[in-house]
Amino acid sequence: MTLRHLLSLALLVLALVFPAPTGWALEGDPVSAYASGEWSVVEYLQCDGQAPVLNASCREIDWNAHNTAAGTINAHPGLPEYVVFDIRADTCDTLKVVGRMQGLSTSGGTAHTLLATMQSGSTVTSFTWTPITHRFTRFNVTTAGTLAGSCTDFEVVARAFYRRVR
Amino acid sequence: MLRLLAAYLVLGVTAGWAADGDAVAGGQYATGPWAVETRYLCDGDHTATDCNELDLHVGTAGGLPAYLTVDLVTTGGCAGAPTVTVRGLTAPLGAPSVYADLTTAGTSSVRVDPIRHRHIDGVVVGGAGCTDLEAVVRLFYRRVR
Repeated sequence: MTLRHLLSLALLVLALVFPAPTGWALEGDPVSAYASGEWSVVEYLQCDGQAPVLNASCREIDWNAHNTAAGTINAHPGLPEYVVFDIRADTCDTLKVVGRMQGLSTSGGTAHTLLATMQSGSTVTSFTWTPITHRFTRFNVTTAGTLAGSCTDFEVVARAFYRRVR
Repeated sequence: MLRLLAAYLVLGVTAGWAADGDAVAGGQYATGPWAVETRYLCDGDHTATDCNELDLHVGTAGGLPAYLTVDLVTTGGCAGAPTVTVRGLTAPLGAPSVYADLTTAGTSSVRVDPIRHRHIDGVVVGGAGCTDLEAVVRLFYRRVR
């Protein structure tokens, strides 16, 4: 048995002992959806993870691609009417994460600041993006909070509102 | 016992009194492009309690509206000038987003346009002595005509 075989066997054992967290939501995943009154609402995770990194961004959301899953509750005709972004969780205990919401017309392209400061536990925890100005959005970290492992969960949710035809 | 019975007959049954979340009598009407539903966000003494969370999805007749306004209407009996902080929440007891601090002498009304959260509540500060603190939420639905 070669070293390569041993490594493969070790990986297999690890995979069996620690199965993949398939049930966990990732950035960009829809986490909630319902229709109510005038609106059909789909909530996505813009950010989800542990200690955010300074100057890094959470994964982009393509608001066009998120509306094309035919046959699912996410199927909507084009961009939403508007989007509300909320910092839903920030477990950094000594220094809160600060970031800005950015809009991009192309993936990885020039980022334009939609809101300069978002921070949990303040009046700027939430941002209403209306009307829609870009196809892509991302959250860019400007103050990373406590990086020494104390941030166990940082979440920014994006709630897309689609007008219902009743 | 007779006194209690008399008080009951004079004051009426308490079950008829409005509470947080109840519809405001006469507050439902349709006019122009809007159908309006009015509810109490806060109604009671609230001397040491906050206003109950209102789930706009299941707690209102029309579901999520196009937008809403909250007015601080009455601060009867309050020893000072209470502040009602109106907040939006994505989930029950979740992380709140502050909409506005309402006072009768200062900003007494806030508009949330477009609608941002499924749940709203009110945090009361300085409610000592209040016998009737009322904040109403008006939900505006676009009419299909």
